[in-house]
Amino acid sequence: MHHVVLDRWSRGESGLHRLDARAKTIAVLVFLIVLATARRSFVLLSACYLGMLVAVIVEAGLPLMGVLKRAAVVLPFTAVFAAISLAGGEPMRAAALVGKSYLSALAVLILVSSTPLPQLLGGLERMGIPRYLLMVVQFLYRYLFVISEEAQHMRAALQAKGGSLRNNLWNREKFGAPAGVLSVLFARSYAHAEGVHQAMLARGFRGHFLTLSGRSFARADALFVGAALIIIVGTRVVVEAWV
Amino acid sequence: MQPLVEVRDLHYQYDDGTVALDGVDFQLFPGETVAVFGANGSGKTTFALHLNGLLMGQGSVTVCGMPVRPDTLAQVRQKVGLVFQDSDNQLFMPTVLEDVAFGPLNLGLDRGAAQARARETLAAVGMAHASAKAPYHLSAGEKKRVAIAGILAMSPEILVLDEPTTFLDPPGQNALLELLDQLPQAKILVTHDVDCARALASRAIFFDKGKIAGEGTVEEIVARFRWDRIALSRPASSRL
Repeated sequence: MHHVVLDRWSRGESGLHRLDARAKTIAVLVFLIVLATARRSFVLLSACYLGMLVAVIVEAGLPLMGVLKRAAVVLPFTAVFAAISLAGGEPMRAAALVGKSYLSALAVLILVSSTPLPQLLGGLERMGIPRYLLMVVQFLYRYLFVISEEAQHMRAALQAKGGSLRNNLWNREKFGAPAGVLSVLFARSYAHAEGVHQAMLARGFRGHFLTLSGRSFARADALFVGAALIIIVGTRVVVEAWV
Repeated sequence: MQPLVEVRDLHYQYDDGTVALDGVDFQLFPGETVAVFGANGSGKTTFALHLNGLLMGQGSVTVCGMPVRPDTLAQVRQKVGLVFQDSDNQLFMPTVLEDVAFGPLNLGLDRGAAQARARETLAAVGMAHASAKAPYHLSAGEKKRVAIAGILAMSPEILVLDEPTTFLDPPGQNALLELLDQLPQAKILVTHDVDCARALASRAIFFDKGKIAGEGTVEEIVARFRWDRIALSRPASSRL
């Protein structure tokens, strides 16, 4: 599963892995803003940024092809909007849409692949992201695996009784079977949520989420943020001035 | 001797009208392990949830001399550790260490002390090597051990275990029984597993329709309620 792979990657030992989550998050945010607002000489700028991200992936010891492939998961979504732009006679806009979304996904993927989730959520919390929003993300991440396993069991049960999700989805008369599976899955997820809440209460939870993570922002983190800012903004300024 | 847990005339009815507990009286004394038997839906788990204040019915529940009330819940939950049947529900934090430290942090320990307590408890259940792992990377037996560690880290005086051997293979069950046998806390085992009860419990009670229908040694209860597996009338040698 994707998130298991990311979890394994995020527990590496590179310099990037050792940085504070806040430093990496700030760098990614700056990157996303600079990329999103880029208008001129986009092809050259994209090539520079792609080269920069590839260098970061290699430095972090992440599997290059694996990361590049996984970042492409956003392409089917943006392809729809790119096709609309293309049909409207704006090929450059379509290309920019695809390029920007891919590079954005790649940058975020590098962040989550180099930062264990507890550290990332802890960093985001210290940056002022609402605690409950982060709790939702944390539980979603934790129970995605459990729910997905249940979905696989239910699919196997459906197949064992001669059913098939794929065929039934397109058959109006048999659509009830996959719809029923989904409703049962939802009910089971709800039951899990209740079970988790009871377990939390039983261990003294009183509405305030306490965690072990409490890393301080070191000098190396500040240097990283400064360097990232200079490289990201500087690249755009140079490319736009040069072309 | 003062009982650790004292339940008097406990009644509980679910919102849909189902009467789950219908006048339960029970005492648990220091050092003893009590097996709780009964058919599915007889009220065993509902009873267990009352001991930790997760449900509150009519009647009284006293834990270590404290009545279970909204204002005593924090202390009660420190005294009574509840290990749920489905470990996946109990292991909700991203790493094993953080999960075990969840209870101590809620008790008010600072991060350093909570981490030290979590590491110590993981070592006690033989799971120190897994502290950095995500819970979904663990086997069923390991998850159960970590779930127990999460409870032990709160230093409870009473352990309530709901179907502790479910989902475990025989070696996993044996390892768990050995672990539980070494723990000094008084225990309540809600279980269908007669072998588990035989190995650990000094006393047993039998729930039927929300009441305690019988009390005695495990063997007495098993015999009285015919609660053991029966031999099939057709011998195994005749099956081909």
